Amino acid sequence: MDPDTETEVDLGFSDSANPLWSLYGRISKEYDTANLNDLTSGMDGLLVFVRSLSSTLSLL
Amino acid sequence: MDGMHPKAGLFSAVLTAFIIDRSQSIQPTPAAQSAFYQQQSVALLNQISQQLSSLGAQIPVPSNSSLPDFILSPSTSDVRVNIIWIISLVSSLTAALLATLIRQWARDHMRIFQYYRHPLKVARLRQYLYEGSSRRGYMRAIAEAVPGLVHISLFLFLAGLADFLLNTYTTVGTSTLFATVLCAMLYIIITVTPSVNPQSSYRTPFSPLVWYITRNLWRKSSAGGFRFTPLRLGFDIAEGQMRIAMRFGVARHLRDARAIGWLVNSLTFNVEDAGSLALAIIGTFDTRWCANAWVRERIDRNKELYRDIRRLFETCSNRRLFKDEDEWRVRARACTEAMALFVFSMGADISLIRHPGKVLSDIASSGGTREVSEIKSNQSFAIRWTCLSLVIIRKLLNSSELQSYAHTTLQQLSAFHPEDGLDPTETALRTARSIDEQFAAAWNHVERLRQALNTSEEKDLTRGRITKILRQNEPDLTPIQEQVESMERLGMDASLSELQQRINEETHGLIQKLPGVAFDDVTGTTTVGQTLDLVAGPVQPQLIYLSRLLRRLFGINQEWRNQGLQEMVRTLRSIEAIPSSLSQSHLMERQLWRLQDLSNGAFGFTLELYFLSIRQLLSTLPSPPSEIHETVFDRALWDITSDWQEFNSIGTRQIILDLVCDIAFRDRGIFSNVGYPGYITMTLLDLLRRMIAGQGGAFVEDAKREIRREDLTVFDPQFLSKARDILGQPHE
Repeated sequence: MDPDTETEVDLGFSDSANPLWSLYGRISKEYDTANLNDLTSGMDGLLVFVRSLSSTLSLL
Repeated sequence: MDGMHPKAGLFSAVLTAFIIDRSQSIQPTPAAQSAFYQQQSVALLNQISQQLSSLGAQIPVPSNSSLPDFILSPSTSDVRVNIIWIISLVSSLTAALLATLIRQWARDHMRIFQYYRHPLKVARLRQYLYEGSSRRGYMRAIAEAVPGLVHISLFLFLAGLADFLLNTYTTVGTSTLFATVLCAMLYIIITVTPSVNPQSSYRTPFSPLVWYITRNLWRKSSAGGFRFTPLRLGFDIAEGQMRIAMRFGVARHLRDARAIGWLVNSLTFNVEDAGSLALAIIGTFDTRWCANAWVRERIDRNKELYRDIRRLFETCSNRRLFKDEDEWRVRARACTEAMALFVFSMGADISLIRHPGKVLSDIASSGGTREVSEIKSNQSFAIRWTCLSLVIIRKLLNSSELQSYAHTTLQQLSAFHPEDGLDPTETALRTARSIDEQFAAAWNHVERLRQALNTSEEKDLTRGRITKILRQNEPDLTPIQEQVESMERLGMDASLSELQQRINEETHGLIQKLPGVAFDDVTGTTTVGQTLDLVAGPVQPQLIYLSRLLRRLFGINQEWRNQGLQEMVRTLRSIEAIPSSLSQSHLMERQLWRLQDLSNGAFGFTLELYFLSIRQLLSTLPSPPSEIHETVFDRALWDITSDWQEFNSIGTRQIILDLVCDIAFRDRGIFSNVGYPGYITMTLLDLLRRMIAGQGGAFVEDAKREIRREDLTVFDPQFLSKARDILGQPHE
C-alpha cells in the first residue's frame, strides 16, 4: 500500500497500554540522551581542534 | 542557532584569511605599477619633447595624443577563485546574520508573554502572530536553511581551494580536489539517505528537498504515469517518518514487539522500575496480539523479569514497606494483574510464588473482587485476581491436614447407619440420600402448609384452624424429627463448620473473597424464607449445615408458638411457591461427593468454585467477553484441571457429572441456567470423557440415567447431546 495515501486505521494498542509506552519513552530517552551526549561531546572537542588548526593554517 | 552563529563566524574568519591573500592576485602589483609609471613618464617626456620641437619649426602638435592607460590582467583562475571565495564568505556571513535574526525573532516572540498580563491580549496576539508565521513554518524553514548556507559556503571554499591549488601546483591541487570530491560525495550520500531509507537518522539541510523530490517522482511512477497527484508528505521528513512508522501492518507489529523486548532488557530492575513495569505490563494485554508480542519476543522466557515481578508481588504482603495504603493498593493490584498475565499468558510457574494466598487475600480485602459494582469498575483486575486465586486455591486445598478433616467428616456419614457388607462410601451415600429424602419431605410439609394457609380466607385463619392444619401434617414429621436428632447427635453441622474453618485457614480466607460463591452460617437465626433463599437461590453454598436447616423446616409447627401466629402466616404467605426442583436437589448427596473430593485433593471442589466465580464474572462482562479475558478463563481452567489423573476419585467424578447435568438441564442445580462459553464447557466435557474412561459401576450408570432424563427441561441441547455421546461411549 502506498504509504503516502495510507490512513492510520489502527494504533494496535488501546489507551491502557499508555503506561508501557510512557515507560518506553522515559527509558529510551535516558538511553538516547546518554548515547547522544557521548557523541556530541566528542564532536564539540573536534570543533575546537578544527578551529585552532584552521587558524594556524591560515596564518601560515 | 546557538551553535550555528559561532561556527559561521569561525568559518568566515578562516575564509577571510584566504581571501585577503588571494584578492591580491586581482590587484595591481608594485612592479606593474612601477612599469606603468615609467611608461607614463616616457610618454610624457616624449610629448614634452614634441611640444618643444614644435615651437621652433612651427610644426603643429597632434592634439589627440594621450597617456597610456593602466591595464590589470589577472589570470582566469584567480578571478574564478576570488569569485567563489567571496560568494562563500557572503554565504557564511549571511548564515551568521540569519542566526542572529532568528534569535532575535524568537526573543521578540517570547516577549508577548512577558509584556502583557491580560490573558486575552496575550492569547489574541499570540494567535495572530502564530497564524502569520509560526504555523506556516516560515521561521522553521529559515532556521533550517542557515546550516545549509554554512555548508554551501564550506563547499565553495573547498572548490576554490582546489581550483587555486590546481593552478599553483598540480600535484597538491589534485590531492586537494580528490579530498574535496570525497567529502562532497559523502555529503551527497548523507543527503539522499533518508529518501532511500526512511528509517535513517542521517540527513543534511538539503535532505528535505531531496525527500520531497523523490517522493514526488515515486508517487508519479507508482501511479502508472506522470499524472499529477497531490503530495501528502511535505518537506518534513520527521512527519513522513511518523506516518510510515504508524502504518498498520506486520512490520509495525514486529517493531512494537521488539520495542517491548528492548524495554524489558533495558530496565535495571530496581523496585521502582519493576513497579513501573508491573503497572505498564497490564495495559498491553488488552488484545491477543499484544499478549502474543510478549511471547514473540521471548520475553516469556525472561526468568529475571518474572522473578522481579514475583518478588515485587511478594513484598505486597508487608504493608509497612509502602508509604500509605493507596500506594500499597495500586502496587498490589498491578502486581496481581502482572502475575496473572505471566501465569496465564506466558505459562510462568505459579508454584514459585511465596505465600500467594495471603497476598491475594490481603489484596481482595481492599475490595474489587466480590461485589458486582466493584467488578464492573475494574473488570480486568477482578478477572485476573479471581483466576489467579482459583489456581492458588487449587494448590492450597490439596493439603493432607484438610484431607484428614474432610475424611473425618465423611466417616460421620458412613457411621450414621452402618450396614454390614457395604463399603463406607456406599453407606455414606445411603445416609446422604436418606437425609435428602427427609429434606424433600420437610419442604413438602412447608408447601402443604403454605397452600393451606393461602387457600383459606383471612377471616377463617383462626388459631384453631391453623392448629388443625398443622396437626394434620404432624405424622409426616416424625421421621424428619428422628433424622434431625440423629444428625445433631453426631454433630454433623459442627464437623462441617470445623471443616469450613480449616478451608478458610488453609486458603487465608481467599475462597470467601471469590465472586459468586456463597457460604452458609452455622450461627444466626433463619426463617423459612431465608432457608428457602439459601437452598433455592441462584447461588448455593457448597457446604450447607443441613441439620440446622432441617430443624428449621421441621420446627415450623412449633414456630407459631414462639413468633406468634400472624408472623408465621406472614412468612409462609410471602413465599410464592416452593420450587418442585428442591425435592430433587440432592443437597446432602452432592455434599457427600464434595467431602469425598476434599479428602482426595479438592479437585472437583475447586472446579465448582471456578464455575461459580466465572458465572458471576460473566454476568458483569459484555457478551462475548474480550479475547484476552477468554484466554485467562481458558488458561485458568487448564491450570486447575491439568493434573486430573492424580485426583480421579469417585467424589470428583460425581461432582463433574453433576456439573455437566446442571449445565445441560434447566433448574436442575447450582450451575443450571447459565450460558457458559463453549471453550469452557468443551473443556469440561473433555475432562469428563477422560475421567470416566475405564470407570464403571453403579455411580457411572446413575450418571448415564441422569443425563438421559426426559422429565427435565433442556437448557443447552448441543452440550447435552455431546454429554450423552460421552456418557454413552463404551468403556475403554
